[in-house]
Amino acid sequence: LYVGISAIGYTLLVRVGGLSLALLIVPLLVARQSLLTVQNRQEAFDRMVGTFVAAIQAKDGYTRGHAERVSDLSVLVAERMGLSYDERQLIRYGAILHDVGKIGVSIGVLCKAGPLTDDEFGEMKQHPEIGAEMLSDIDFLKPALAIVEHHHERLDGRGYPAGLEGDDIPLLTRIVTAVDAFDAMTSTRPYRRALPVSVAIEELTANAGSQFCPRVVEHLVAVIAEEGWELTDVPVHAIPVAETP
Amino acid sequence: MSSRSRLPALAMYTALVAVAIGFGIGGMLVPVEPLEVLRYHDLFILALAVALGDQLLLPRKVGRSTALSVAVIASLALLLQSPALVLLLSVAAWAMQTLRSLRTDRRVRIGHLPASALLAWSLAGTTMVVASIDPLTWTIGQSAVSFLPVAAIWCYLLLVAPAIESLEVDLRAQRGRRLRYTDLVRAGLLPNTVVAATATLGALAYPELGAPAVLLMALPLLAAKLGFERDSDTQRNYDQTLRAMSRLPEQLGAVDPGHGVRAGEVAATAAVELGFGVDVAVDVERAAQLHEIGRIQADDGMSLPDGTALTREQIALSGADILRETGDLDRVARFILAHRGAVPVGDEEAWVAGAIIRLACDLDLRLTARGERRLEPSDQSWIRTQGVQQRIAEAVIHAAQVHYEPTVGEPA
Repeated sequence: LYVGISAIGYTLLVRVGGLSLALLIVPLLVARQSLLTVQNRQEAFDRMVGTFVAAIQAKDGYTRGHAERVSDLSVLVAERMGLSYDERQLIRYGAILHDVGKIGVSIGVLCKAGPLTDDEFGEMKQHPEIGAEMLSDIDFLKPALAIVEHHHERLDGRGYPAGLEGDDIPLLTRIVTAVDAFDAMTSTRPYRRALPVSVAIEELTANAGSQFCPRVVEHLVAVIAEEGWELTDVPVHAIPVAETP
Repeated sequence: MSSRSRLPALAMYTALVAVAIGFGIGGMLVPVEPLEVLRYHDLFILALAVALGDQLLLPRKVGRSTALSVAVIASLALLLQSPALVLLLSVAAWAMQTLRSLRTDRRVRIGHLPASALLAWSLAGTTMVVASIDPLTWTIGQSAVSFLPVAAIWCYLLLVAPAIESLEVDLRAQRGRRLRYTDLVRAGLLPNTVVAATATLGALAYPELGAPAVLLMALPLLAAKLGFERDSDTQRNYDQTLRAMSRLPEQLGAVDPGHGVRAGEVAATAAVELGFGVDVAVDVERAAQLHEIGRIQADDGMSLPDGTALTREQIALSGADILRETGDLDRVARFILAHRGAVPVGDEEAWVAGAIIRLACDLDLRLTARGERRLEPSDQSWIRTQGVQQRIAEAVIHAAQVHYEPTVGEPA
């Protein structure tokens, strides 16, 4: 690029004169500077989103790193499914922020070491809508709001909050739903230890078509296999033994 | 800005354009050598018309900076001819912009003044080059200066007409209609036209370059346009995400809905009034928006797990820590600490910023309170209670008069 610009600039200088350099070089320098600014701001923006997520995860230590893992794995699945760069960006942000609404759920419910009561589950079920509402004013995230709002929907319509079924659940959301479940199963939770990756895959496969999108599960399993996770057959994200009642 | 408040400016805008066209047609019909002052007058009116037009017409969500920034580049490339005219136009654009800001929403929007001036420069430069084209040889030359009226109409068709069309888009968007792709294309007509016109003129100015000249001139301009568009988008995303972050404590029920955003608006306006630069004023607004963010360390936003209540100092300290983790908000973190009194010795900027934030926060609580604690924006008694910070309190309550309607404070 620099060689090309220099060559054009030199030609202009020889054939036209000094003013031509201003015509060509000044706009290019301004463009370069503005794109560098964009790059820096984008990095700062990503760090801010990370801080945003970390602040929420501070409430629920058991899920620390969960959002980042779901985001990374969702992007890999999206890439394998041939989705565009823009869609992969959407899924990256949507996945990392999918649990942002948990800020509105009490620690007692988030970290309860045992089954939730109906009331507690009712409180927990509000987090997708809380999260979507919180992010609704961020223009570029609007296409990703469906991920935040519907990542607990099921293919058979028995999920929440809207009870969407089948193709009514957007593809990006179906990806995050499956990856979210996989990461939850392979992480140690207050009420159980992490499951082995092979068991988690069995669960995903068994529920493909009812809870998860079969096509997504197929690609997710392939990605996990490509990453070598199934060979280890140990919980990849297991937190060192945390005894729970 | 409401569509009603746009009407006077729109009327002025239309009148200016009509005058510009009148000059152009009149100049063509009457075969009189135009006076030098008349030529400047024509340029001046057109430049102001477009500067005002940009203010009126670009939909807020599409981003104003794109058109203006392209105009900057166009002017850099073309306007190397008359420093006096540049000065005249920039002063005029500044004056008009200030007048309009005071008349409409009384809030001097950061960046509008130089941006309007630069847009005016761009139009002046474009017009001057067009004016110097010899219509017979189709080359630039001093002999073609008298064809300025034709240039004026040409500029009107290329720059002003598409802008008028986008007004409709803007008004529809204000009525709540979602922007469609075609709307976005229309809204981009002005910057795209500026690029095309500038590139064409640049090519005309250098006929020896041949046919590739237009492409040669257009590419760097398009690259710059892309850069500014991306910059504008990223900046908007960044600010919107910060605003969403400021609502986290509200989710815990520890803060009134909208408190941070309202305090931020007042603090930013007060910071500008007190002489802070743009970048500092923006950070003052962010700090005011996020001054309660530290509450998220507590489950309910108010007390720690052991039952002890969070102090305001703990909230500020925790909030500053959270923001420092981004690596980009150190000054915002410093201002948040300052608003609870943690000011490094000799750091007057942080002291004033901290005072603005504290007062904006306190004032918002008073303006939205019920009963005896409630304050009206017009009530000056609150200022006298602020001791050594009276000067800052005056700026804050003046800012509040801009942002709060007397009846708006009633909580739902």
